[in-house]
Amino acid sequence: MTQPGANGGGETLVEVFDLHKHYTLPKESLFRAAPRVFALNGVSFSIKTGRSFGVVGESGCGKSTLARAVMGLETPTSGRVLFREHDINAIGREELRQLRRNFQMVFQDPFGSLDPRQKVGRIIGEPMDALERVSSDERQGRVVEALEAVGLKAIDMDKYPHEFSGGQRQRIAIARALITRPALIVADEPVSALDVSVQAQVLNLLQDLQDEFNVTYMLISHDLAVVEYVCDEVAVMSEGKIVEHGPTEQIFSDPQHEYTRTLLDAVPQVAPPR
Amino acid sequence: MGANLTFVQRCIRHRSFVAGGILSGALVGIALLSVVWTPHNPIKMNIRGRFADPTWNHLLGTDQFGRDILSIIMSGAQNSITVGVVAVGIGLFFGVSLGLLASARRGWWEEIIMRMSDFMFAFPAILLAIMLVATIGPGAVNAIVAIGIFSIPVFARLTRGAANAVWAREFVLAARAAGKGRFRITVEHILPNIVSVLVVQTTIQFALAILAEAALSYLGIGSQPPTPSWGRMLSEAQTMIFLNPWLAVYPGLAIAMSVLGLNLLGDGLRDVIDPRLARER
Amino acid sequence: MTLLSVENLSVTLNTMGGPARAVRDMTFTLERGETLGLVGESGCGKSMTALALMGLLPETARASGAVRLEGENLLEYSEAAMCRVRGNRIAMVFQEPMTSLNPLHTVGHQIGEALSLHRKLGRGEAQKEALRLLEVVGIPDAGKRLGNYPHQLSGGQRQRVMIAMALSCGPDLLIADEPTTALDVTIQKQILDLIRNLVNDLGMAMILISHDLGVIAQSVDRVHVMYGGGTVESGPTAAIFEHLSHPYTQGLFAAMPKLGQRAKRKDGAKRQRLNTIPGVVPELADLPAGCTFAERCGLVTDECRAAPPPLTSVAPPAGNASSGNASAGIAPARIVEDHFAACVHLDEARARLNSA
Repeated sequence: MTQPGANGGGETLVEVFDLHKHYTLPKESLFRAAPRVFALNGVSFSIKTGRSFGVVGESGCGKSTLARAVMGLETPTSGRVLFREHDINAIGREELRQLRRNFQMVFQDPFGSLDPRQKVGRIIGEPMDALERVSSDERQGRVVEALEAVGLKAIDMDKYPHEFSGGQRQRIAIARALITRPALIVADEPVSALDVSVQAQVLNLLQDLQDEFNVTYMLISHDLAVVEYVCDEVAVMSEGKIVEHGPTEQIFSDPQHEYTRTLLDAVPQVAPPR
Repeated sequence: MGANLTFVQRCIRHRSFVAGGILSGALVGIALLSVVWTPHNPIKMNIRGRFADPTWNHLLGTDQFGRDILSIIMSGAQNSITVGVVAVGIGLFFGVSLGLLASARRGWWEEIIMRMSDFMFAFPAILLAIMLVATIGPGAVNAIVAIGIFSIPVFARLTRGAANAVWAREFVLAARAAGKGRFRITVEHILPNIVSVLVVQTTIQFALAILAEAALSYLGIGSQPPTPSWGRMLSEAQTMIFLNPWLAVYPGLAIAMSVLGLNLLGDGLRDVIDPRLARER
Repeated sequence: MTLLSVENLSVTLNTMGGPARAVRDMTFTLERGETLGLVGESGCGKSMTALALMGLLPETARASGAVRLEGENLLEYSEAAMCRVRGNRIAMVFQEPMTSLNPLHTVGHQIGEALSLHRKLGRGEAQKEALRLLEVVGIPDAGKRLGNYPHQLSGGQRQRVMIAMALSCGPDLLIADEPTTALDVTIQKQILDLIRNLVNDLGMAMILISHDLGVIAQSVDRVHVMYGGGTVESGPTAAIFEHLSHPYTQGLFAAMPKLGQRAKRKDGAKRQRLNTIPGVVPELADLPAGCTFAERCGLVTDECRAAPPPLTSVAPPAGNASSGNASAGIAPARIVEDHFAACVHLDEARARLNSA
């Protein structure tokens, strides 16, 4: 590993400035203003190349909205998301499409995130088909390469998603994210639908891929142990805000914010009851 | 768990699918056969031999003009199928396009398209078809177009509902994250995932179209003589219901069997296709 | 008399791939006030065991063996007789509180319904009792909540309502199937505390089903670790987590990322791989004849593949009080005679663990 990012001193890949996202709910009463939900309430952070950035928090804290905003799938109410210094909400549609090759996403549900009607080869190739022009030979080669990188076989290309187990499907989803050789992978709860033994395989895979391709992760999870295991840096979110942010060791061994402490205390440990 | 059964095996095990398939297959088979061969020329009259009882020569007897009833019934199948295919084709093409558009664009597009189909739903379809044919003039083509137009909102609404459900799935979000636009997502992800719903509805609309054509022809504003048509056979037989009731029974039976067959097929298809979908989810 | 005694309970499912033994020879007993945990990964048979106890197996399933509630074999009960047992003597709490509550009725109505059905209470009495139960399960402002619909409550509150309903008839046995899996960790902690306190106060017996070793470790007296439909290791919770004995239990534990491990990593060691269990969970329809874990186990021999290994007692390993595995700091387990594991290579397994 000679890339500058591997040892933590890399350039800034993603920067988020004071991000707000409000949703307007349907009106409940004719005479009152429609209620608004504040999913993101002023979030700022930056991620350096080759690092793993974790976001933890409980359901409804805005972490999934944040992931989608970083992916450009959600337009923020205000604030900016910079990817390699391009504001992804300000550049044109075609420019954004070109930029997309550099950031891909892995979703939580390994059953819902793969189109049941498409073969695995087509699923994995989708980002490449959407963003690049490649010959069919190169396409084939890269799909096989991605499949092998995640521990599947070339013959799996011609199967349908339902022929795979949950863990294997998540590998397929990771292969799809890898196909454009992105700099950033945003993973939203990538292992929370998996059994413990399978979860370990996928977490190891994520780390191996980082070593191999120097990819940067933004990992969203409710599971503190998973985030501690994978990430170099952690942001703790609550009610649309980052309440604490720092190197993983520090957050987990010396939490400063009350909420972080509550979260850590609540995790059931493998130790018999008092 | 029917997981390990192939599609064909599941079809064969489904009783109403098999019954519907046989009846619908017979309808199509007879229509095709009648193009190249009928026992007699269905439009050739023979006044002397009218109201003949069934014989080996005329298996179902002859009508008031001495035409061979079996031959007319067989040719009538052609007419019914043509009407079904064209009318449902019109409904499918426009209805599915509008439904997909509404689902892909949401907002005002969806609002306008859906309110328009609600408007059309508010009137009985057959009444509107009669009105339309009355204004633009009777005839097979006009009847078909009228029936087709009124199956558009059925398909539009169904398509939008099914498509909205698919748009909410995570793999569509994944496609957006991959950089695909609305149009490509619609063609590559939405449409293939709602095909099964459409197939089922198509068979049912097909049956409805056959019924509607029979009704319009019965009223004399559908296909015009001498084109053989089950609906017109019924209306002609009506005047002679006491003279020769069988004249009404044969076309009635033909219509009933076709509609029954298509509906059974539709029900069967829903059962055969849906569990597989449920499992894949 | 023993409250619940399960003897050689097996459940066979008829699938297209042939009969699948979803539960194989489960045997355990439970007294009032005792808590038992069933832990394992998806498809290990833990939920199917619970459904068999409740008499709620799917129609294609056949149960054999015996489920004795105070001596009476529930498997021989008619559906009508089981209806009187369910809710009344055995109550169940499910994973997803939203789908187990009827969205069209108020919370008060749903609890009241259970009360009038099983305890023949009048309307006014039922509402009063419902209010008391909501207070017992710690719902703030219980009087107001009675008139709420399920969607007006948070996930944690809905699960509290489910627990209130389960408690409504003073059951002897509470079965909780992944009761906190759909909840956030802070809410999970509250619900687990609540369940534990209720079991203590009311003297019920409880079976807690979970995939989460941490939840199990903190909540129950005894544990059955399940794999491939059967028990692979059973014993007092403290004993099991102190002496992880079966290779599967060891693998499961090692595969779990544990909080607070990062600080213990050696300097510069940015990466630390989790130990994984190779392979995948076997299909229930074609489980191997011998040990179900054989294909994924590092210690496998021909003996393992020949016949299912019996549950054998785990003798206390001599003088390893300081052999620090990850659960160091736990007081030495007192009772080890009833710590069992279904493995023929127990000694090797433990040696491997101690050397790791």
